[in-house]
Amino acid sequence: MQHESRRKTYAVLLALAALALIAVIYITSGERDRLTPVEYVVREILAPVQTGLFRIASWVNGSVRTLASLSLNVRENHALKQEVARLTAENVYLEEQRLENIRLRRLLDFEEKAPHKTLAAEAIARDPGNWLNTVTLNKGTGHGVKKDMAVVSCEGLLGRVVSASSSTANVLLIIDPRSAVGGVVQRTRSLVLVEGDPETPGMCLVKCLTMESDLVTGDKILSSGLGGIYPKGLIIGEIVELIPGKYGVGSAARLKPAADFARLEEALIILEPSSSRDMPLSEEEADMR
Amino acid sequence: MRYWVLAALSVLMVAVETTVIPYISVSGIGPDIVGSFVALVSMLNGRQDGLFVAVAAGFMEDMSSGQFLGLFTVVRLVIGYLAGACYQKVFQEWVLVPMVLVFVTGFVSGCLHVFLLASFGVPFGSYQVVLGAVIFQAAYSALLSPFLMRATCSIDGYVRRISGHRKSL
Repeated sequence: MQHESRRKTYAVLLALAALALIAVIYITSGERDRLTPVEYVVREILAPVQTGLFRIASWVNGSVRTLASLSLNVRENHALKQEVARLTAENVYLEEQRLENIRLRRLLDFEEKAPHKTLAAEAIARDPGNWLNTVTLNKGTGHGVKKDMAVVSCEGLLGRVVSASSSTANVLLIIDPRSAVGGVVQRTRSLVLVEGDPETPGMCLVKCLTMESDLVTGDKILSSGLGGIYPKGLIIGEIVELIPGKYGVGSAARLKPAADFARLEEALIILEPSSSRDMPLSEEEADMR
Repeated sequence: MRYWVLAALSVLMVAVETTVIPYISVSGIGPDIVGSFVALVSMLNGRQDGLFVAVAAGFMEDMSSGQFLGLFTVVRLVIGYLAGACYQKVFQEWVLVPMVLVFVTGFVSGCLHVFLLASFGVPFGSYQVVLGAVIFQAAYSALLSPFLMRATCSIDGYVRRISGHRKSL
């Protein structure tokens, strides 16, 4: 009897708690400008634990991978030595071209493109579930990080900051279905929209913004800079598969992001995009379209 | 003492899930180690402990995620409640018991998680893709559950020794 009554109490309490929590989920389902004080404190407490564990996991993973690839290293070393020799020669040639380019730009009175002002950060945690693609970085508002700052890796665009505490920042990755990035096809300069692909985890969908699009496999997509969040010219990825639209009208494509999200460890937060890169498409580029 | 240990273990599980699990995930799908822990504690110690762990771990996950606050807590509470039904009713020592329990609760929690996210506007792929991912996650969690069960039982024994408490954990 007592057991039955306790079971009923649990069920009622659970139902009430679930209803209250669903209301909280609804309230916090949209994007928020700032974290609640409780979230702020908990994240600050969790950050050192996550940093320590992430470093250990990263070290173990690195060691295992190194051991596994030991047999390949000898062959790879030989090939790399040849590659280094070739690249050294090429580098000298490119350096000459770069210096010539600088001289010509100065002659034409062009503003030199300054690199973006960035902040290096370490990825210390992933979203606890498997359904949302966010990552926590170990730099926050205390380091000058703000909401909607773009985040890149050395390979390409990663995403944007959606919330930040004093020492952590949550980044919505471009592979998340809620993410949308304005892009431009490098070959044709056509404007496209790059969204996270809900069908294929880790991939993106490219949607054309114009009727006459001629996407082909291998096309590189760069950020257009038109959305106001992502600076212009950052590499997003490469088209790997074309998806024909209904009745053959319109087209989309599947994009493989340039950045490796599965093994994400370091990232650069763009604190201040350079003014020249940040400009929207120039008239010349618009004419080309 | 028991509740302090359970709370500390919940924090540790959340920290492991957000840092270590991405390294062992397959195609972006990793095991739900926190969900498995909640289910096992609920089966071993009853609903009261299970719901406590569900709230502690769910709260930490929600705070860590920063989006859809309360989502993880709801899902964990449901797991804790369901798994609590097995308390003192199943033969826990048999290795298949934790595996089946974790698979079933993992499947239910995966479906609930997706349903709630979809209800609040998060886009998902076709239902076959989502169902495949949910089943894979539940199966992956079930495979790891005997190890987690063993670890939980070891900590349980240790806590009982140092606190002189009769009930596990």
